Amino acid sequence: MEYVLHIAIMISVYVILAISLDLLVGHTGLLSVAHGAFFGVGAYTAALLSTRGTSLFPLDVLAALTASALLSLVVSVASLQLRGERFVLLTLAFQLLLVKVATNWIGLTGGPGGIYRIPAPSLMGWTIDTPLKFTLLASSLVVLSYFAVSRIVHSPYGRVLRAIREDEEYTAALGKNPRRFKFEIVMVSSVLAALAGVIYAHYMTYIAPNDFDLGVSLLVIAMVIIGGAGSLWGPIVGATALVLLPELLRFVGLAGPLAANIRQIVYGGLLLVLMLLRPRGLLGRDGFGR
Amino acid sequence: MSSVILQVALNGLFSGITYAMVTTGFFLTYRSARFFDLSYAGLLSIGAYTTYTLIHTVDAPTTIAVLTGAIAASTCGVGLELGAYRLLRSRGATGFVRLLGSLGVMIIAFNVLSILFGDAAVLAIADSPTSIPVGPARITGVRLVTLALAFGLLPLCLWLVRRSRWGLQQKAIFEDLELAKGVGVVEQTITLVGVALGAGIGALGSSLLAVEGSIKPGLGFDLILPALLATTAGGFRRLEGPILCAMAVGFSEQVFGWFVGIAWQEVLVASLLVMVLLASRRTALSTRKGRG
Repeated sequence: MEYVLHIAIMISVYVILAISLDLLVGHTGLLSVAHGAFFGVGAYTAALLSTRGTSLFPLDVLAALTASALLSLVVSVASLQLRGERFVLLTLAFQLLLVKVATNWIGLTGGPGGIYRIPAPSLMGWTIDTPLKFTLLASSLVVLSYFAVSRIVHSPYGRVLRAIREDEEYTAALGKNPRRFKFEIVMVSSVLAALAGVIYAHYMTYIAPNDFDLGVSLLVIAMVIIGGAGSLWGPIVGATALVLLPELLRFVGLAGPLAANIRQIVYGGLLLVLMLLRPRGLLGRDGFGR
Repeated sequence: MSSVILQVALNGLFSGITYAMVTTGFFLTYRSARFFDLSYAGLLSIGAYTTYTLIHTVDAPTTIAVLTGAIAASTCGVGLELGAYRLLRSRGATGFVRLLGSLGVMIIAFNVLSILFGDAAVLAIADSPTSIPVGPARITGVRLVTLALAFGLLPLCLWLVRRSRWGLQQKAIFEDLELAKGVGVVEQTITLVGVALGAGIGALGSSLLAVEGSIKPGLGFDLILPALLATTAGGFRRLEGPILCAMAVGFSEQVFGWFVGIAWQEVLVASLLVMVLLASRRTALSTRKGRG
């Protein structure tokens, strides 16, 4: 039973990551490879506050969201002046930079050894210290995140984002300020990623820099692309499928370090095949990338 | 103290030259393929591991191993171009879609190498390389050969890009594809040659690194980052810019590492890339505005 709950929690974490990244990739047309970094910012902020202060969940969340929003200013500013591949490059450099800083700043982050013994969070006197409680918390946050993203996507704000994705100049000509929308949506996306990081840190009780490296960013991108960018359910399907994939590999006798490599090869292969055959992904609605 | 400074300078020169070779390859690949082809990182690793395998398993002479590594990378690059990227272009795929496809290829390449060779760093030559004194500092024979090779190869590449028929046609395609096709430039052939040359030249750099020191599957990615920085700062209109920027990056990295510590070297390259991208859309030595 605990195994099933563990899977449910990990699915919840990655669903939040995927739907938040889809706001950028699917709805605004900004491919960011820095989502792992924002995930890590949230996790490290929660871990540092918990291990060096009190472990109040709302405080952790608030601090993590603030830290992520502040750091996302770099990417937000980049979104104003960079487009296409150059924006991707910047997010790639930003992702690598944050992981390297986390690895080398031993005094703050514990370096490669990471931070361990992260205490269980407490919420209004309720200590969340069992897999079942974490499942309830994570599921609730998934529902809240989905609701928030759904409101954005189905609102006039969301229509402007999609207009920016299709043709930024035309959107500006219609009187909208694409720069403002891009600036804001980068921040919203990073804040949601940080929320996933808070859950992850408290549940795992141990985090290290390689938990949030480029591989994680690429995994979340794969979830969005494979599931279908620009649709609400696509990233959810993609996240669920790619979290369950290693478990399926276990059943066919592929366990241990080989499974991790094969999983990555499957992600890479799926990305390539989808770009060749169906760039919009499994459930994508719009002509993504064409 | 002067020996340390000279040693750091020599190390910086070697780093810079290696980055310059990788950057030259990336420059040729980008100008041909016209998108940021991240699978180039995978090709660099393939070249390095081919060299390693030949030296480690069959005791191949270094020259043959390095050249074979470059040819292997070049062949894989041609295969990718024919099997995937040409198909993507024919379907009207945007640079965005092709970049995602190349990301998939990069992931596959690194993980296949990881399965075959493991994640730990490996040494092609177990014995310490013979070093030659240069004043109070020392330099290995491999590094001397790398420097000599680069000082012959890089000017040749400059000539190729600026003066050769192929280079001029590649420039035409890069500047205006439709116009170039209209005057009879065969895009597919030019692109294929560019990808092959780019992968081969870049893999020469990574293969020489394989002889000189240890390598791991993600080596290509460690090398592509300075290349991205150099081409972002130097631009894609003239090769001189990226080459000079690559050499500056390599040299700065060594000096930075000496002052701050080797662990922080990669922070320098990533930070510089962020700053260069944020600061200016106009590149250092380009004659026209960058494309942003």
